[in-house]
Amino acid sequence: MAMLEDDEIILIFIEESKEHLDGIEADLLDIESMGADVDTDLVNRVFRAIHSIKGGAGFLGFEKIKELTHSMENLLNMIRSGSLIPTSGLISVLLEGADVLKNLIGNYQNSNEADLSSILKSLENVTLESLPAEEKKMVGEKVDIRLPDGSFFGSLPKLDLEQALKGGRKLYIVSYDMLNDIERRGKNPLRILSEIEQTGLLIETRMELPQVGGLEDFTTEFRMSLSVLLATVLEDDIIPNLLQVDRSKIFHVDLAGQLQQIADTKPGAAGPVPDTIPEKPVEPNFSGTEAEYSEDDLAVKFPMDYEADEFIETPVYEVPEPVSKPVQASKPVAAKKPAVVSKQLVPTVKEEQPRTVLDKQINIGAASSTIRVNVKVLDELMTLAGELVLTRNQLLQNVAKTETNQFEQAVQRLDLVTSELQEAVMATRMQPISNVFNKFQRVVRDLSEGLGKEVELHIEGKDVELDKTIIEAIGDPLVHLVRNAVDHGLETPDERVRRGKPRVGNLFLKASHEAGQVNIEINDDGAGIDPQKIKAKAQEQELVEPHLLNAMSEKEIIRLIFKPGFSTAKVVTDVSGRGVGMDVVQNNLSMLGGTIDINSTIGKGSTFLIKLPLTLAIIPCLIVEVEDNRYAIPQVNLVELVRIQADQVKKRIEIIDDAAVMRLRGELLPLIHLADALQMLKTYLNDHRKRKSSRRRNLFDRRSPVHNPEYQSAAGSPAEPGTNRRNEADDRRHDLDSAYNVVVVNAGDFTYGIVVDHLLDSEEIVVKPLGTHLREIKTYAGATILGDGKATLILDIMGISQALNLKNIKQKSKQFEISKETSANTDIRSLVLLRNAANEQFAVPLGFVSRIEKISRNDIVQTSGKQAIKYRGQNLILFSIEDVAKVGPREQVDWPFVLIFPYAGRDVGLVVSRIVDVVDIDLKIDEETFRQPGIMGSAIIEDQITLFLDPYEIVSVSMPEWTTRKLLEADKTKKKARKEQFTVLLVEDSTFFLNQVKNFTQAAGYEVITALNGVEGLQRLNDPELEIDIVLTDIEMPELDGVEMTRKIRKESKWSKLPVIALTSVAGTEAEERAYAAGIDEYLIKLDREKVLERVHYFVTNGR
Amino acid sequence: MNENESTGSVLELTIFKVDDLTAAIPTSFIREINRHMSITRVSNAPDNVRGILNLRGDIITVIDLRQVFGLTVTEINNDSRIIVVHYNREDIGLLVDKVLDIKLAAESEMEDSPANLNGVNGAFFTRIFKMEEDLAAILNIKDILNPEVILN
Repeated sequence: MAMLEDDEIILIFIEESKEHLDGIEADLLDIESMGADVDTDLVNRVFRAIHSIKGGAGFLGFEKIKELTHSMENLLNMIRSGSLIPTSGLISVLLEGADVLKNLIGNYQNSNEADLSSILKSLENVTLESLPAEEKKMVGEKVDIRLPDGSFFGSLPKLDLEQALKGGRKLYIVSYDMLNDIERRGKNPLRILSEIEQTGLLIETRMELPQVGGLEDFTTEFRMSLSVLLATVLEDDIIPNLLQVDRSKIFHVDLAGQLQQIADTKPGAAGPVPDTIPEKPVEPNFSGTEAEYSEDDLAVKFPMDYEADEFIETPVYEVPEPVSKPVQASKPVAAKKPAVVSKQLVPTVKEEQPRTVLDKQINIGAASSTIRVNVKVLDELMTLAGELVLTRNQLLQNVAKTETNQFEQAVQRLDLVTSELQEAVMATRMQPISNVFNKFQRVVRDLSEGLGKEVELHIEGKDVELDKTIIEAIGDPLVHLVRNAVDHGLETPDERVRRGKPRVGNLFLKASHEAGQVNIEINDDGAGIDPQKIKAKAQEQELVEPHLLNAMSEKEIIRLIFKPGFSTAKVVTDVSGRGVGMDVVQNNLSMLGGTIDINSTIGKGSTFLIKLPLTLAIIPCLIVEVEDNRYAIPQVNLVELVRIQADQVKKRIEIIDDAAVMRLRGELLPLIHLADALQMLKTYLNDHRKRKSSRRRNLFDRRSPVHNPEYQSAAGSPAEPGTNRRNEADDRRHDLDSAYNVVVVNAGDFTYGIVVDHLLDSEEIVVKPLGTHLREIKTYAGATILGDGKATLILDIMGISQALNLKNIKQKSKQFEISKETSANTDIRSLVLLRNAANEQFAVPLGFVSRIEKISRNDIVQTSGKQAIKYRGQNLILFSIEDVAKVGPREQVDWPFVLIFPYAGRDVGLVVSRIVDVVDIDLKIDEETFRQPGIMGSAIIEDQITLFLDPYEIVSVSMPEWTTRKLLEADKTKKKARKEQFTVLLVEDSTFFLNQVKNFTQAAGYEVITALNGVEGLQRLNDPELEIDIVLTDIEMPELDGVEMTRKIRKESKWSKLPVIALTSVAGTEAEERAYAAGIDEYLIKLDREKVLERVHYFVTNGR
Repeated sequence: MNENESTGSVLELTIFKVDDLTAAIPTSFIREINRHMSITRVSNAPDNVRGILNLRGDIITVIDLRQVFGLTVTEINNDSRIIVVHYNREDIGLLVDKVLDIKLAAESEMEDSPANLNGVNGAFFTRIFKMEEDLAAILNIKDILNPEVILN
């Protein structure tokens, strides 16, 4: 048997074998699940698959593959015939066999060196166990078969022959002439073998290479022959036509190995069929005229014809020109073919044969809807489609400038066609995710068996399609996640029962489309991830500094599993817990442009959510601009776009540990300015010593001249004047230029912000590789060409974070950022509930507090009788409720909270032991019963008496010296007030605040007129009896709000000089922008009375 | 490479200017010469890399030859050209100050390169082409385009 050095044939074989194998696993599992109720079709399918591999392997000289497939085939045959019941153990052996086979095929070059003894032994054992006694005897008995010319064909187990003869089959040996029967007919040996497969059972093949003789031998006698031993129900008279081999080359074989020439029952048909026609081989079927064919011949021939028509492959018959007449003549016959086929076929063939033929035809129909295409061709198509997209983009940009109608229509058409073409081409690369998902039945089965767990796998969204490249690459990460779910996530059946769950655990594997991406969810209803365990593990392995760990939220802690080296499996099992894992999963996914997230609830289970792009070749991107350079940020990395208004910059961006961070809904995100970051990287990469740590600190100061005028001159950065000049010369986008555009991006395990100058378009771009000189730069994922034809770099979000060594912010204290946007329209309704002494509940209106921080008790220092902490580089003076109010002392906790609020222009803090909740509530405050210094009133909240803190009073009582100074100033106001008795109009809908503000303004010597909404406010202003000097107004009010009221005020020229101060619960909102725009002079916090009085005083004395 | 290029008796050279240096590249390496100057700067790239360019749908790297030779950054003007060479299965643009001529150089007109020429290290040259009025340094493309060299 010769090993053919025909690469192409080998590759086809390998490719086909892989396809066969892909289906086998799922089928075997199905067979197992059906138990004794064997589905013959299913078994047949597996059998055929294994069988085809065996045939090819034998032919190509892959002995070991052949040996293995042979053993598997025996087993399958016995299942098929019902002599074996597919037990779990039996299927396990077959699955194992399939695995080994897969390896052999994957490594076919070395397959012949493989050691298969163990798997073969297992297979043999299973086979033997179930054999009837008399057949057992046959095992080991071999039959020697020789070809007619006396050459040795092979020594075959008698048992195999016996099995093959079951079901009315006969054994034939057929010798093909490689040259005339195969090559010249445009066939190849694999094709022949698969033809045989469809007729019967292929048992053994043998390739004969004769001794190389002289040249004359070569031309005349040289024959490479392919001999095939097959078993089929077909009769002697049909076989030659079916196989298109002269009957002289077909022999019967009996169990003793004796050969006998097949019967020559139809002399007519057997006419002198030339077996060799040197120049133009003529297909035997066409060698005579139509009349010479019997109906039987036709009957069997037609399926073959049919097949030849269906496949777009090499023609089965090579019809020489001169004999074209019979071809035409055959057409009419073909038209009535179905009738003939059914009539003749049924009596001719026996038992199962009709179905096989039918199956075959259905398969053929299905096969013709797909076509094997070289991936290179697809890639090229893809590139072309990409080019077209780019050209289209360019045209689209230009067409906006021209006005010709027809041109526009043409471009619209091109636009449409291009998009469609692109989609179609992309579709050629798309494969259903079931290709990956299907193997999980097996993975889960094996795992749960090995771990003694019961798991039911639910697969959803099998049809979701992804690019081939991605499909191929997500397999491993998914296997890892599924393993983890089964190993760590799901509990043992007993444990589940103990916890009141059903014995069988559920594992969901779901795929779905979402906004141009694919989501894959791996969800189990197991134990969930215990943050405490992760925490303990992280401590043990010293993955995170302990004080940081304490400050982490549960979700952050859970995300630690993505750290390199992390593993929580109690026992290092074969399955998982080897410490390599989730970080690799994350890296692999991010290389595909994907991300992963976890949600987990203890006792309920865990969900891993993976987001992947549909394809890697054309990706949607956000185009941003920095210093006149555009960059593309892949959509898949985008989390959100945040615009920080100029006057918010200081509040939301700060420097922690030498790095800029941004506050976003309670999270601190590392923040980088793209231009500086790229430049900085360069400095960093090119010269470590030149990089100054101070650079980063100045980064954001320099860029926010509005708030840090001192830096503007000090920075002396040459970039600054240039930037400004450009801004002036540019377009409307720039009038708010001091605001920050932040692109919040996800870089795998964490999120960070990138500041850019401008956000431009969203564009579908074609990823192009960078040249060798630039490929090593981590910050770019590639390049693309934008609509205007300019080359643009695609940012590698992960790469940038790695290169800059960005990390999750080291939070010295846990931040509970209060969403100012939501609290803007509330005053008393949003309350922070807190405890100081364990048994007393306090409330403070959310609006009073600018931030709440969790601090370490150890960070509190005592200075001159006062408590303070270091906070953002400054001393934050801390006050306690019990210092002023008669309440219980603060419970000593390790991590107390500090409410931070402004007092007379500075930040101060109020320490409490714990934060209970933030509630939205509408209630009436009793301002009498519990009134005392520091306590403004009380109410019943959640069935508890709750004291309302007046934090400002607590401070003013504790720090009389601050207030004395203020009082002196207030005194001055009073004096002036006495002289002129200024009148304040206070517009406020909440009676609580109305009273509070009224009280302190009256105390300061003003006359106060009140109104409950804007409409009333305007009425008061219009009242000729009243002379109002200044308006203090709430923003959110019924009927007419503060902003609208101000707008109306500003429309009247008589009030043009009237100062209007807005008082709100919280500063720094979108409303603030609106307020200033409407003509409000100052925007203040309601209960910062010192500040309010100071500003009122300023405005009444100085005017607006 | 020059050995192969000059198997005939003459070598066709494209002659150009890089600062004060007159340099040459065997024309066989050259894909095209253009004045397409819409170069996108690449932060973090080595200094020698001027940027990237859209060359009919492909992204090519443009190398500033002045920087390769340790001279000042090339200032782009009307004479500036990008010589696109095909080397190592990649198109790469070389930014030069001016393209002068294409000439045939006979074996006899070439000699070994000196230690340096117009202040540029002779290691960048394979040989020198003696023209009537001037000397042209034939560039050693392999070294010049070697990423290792560029990166350092």
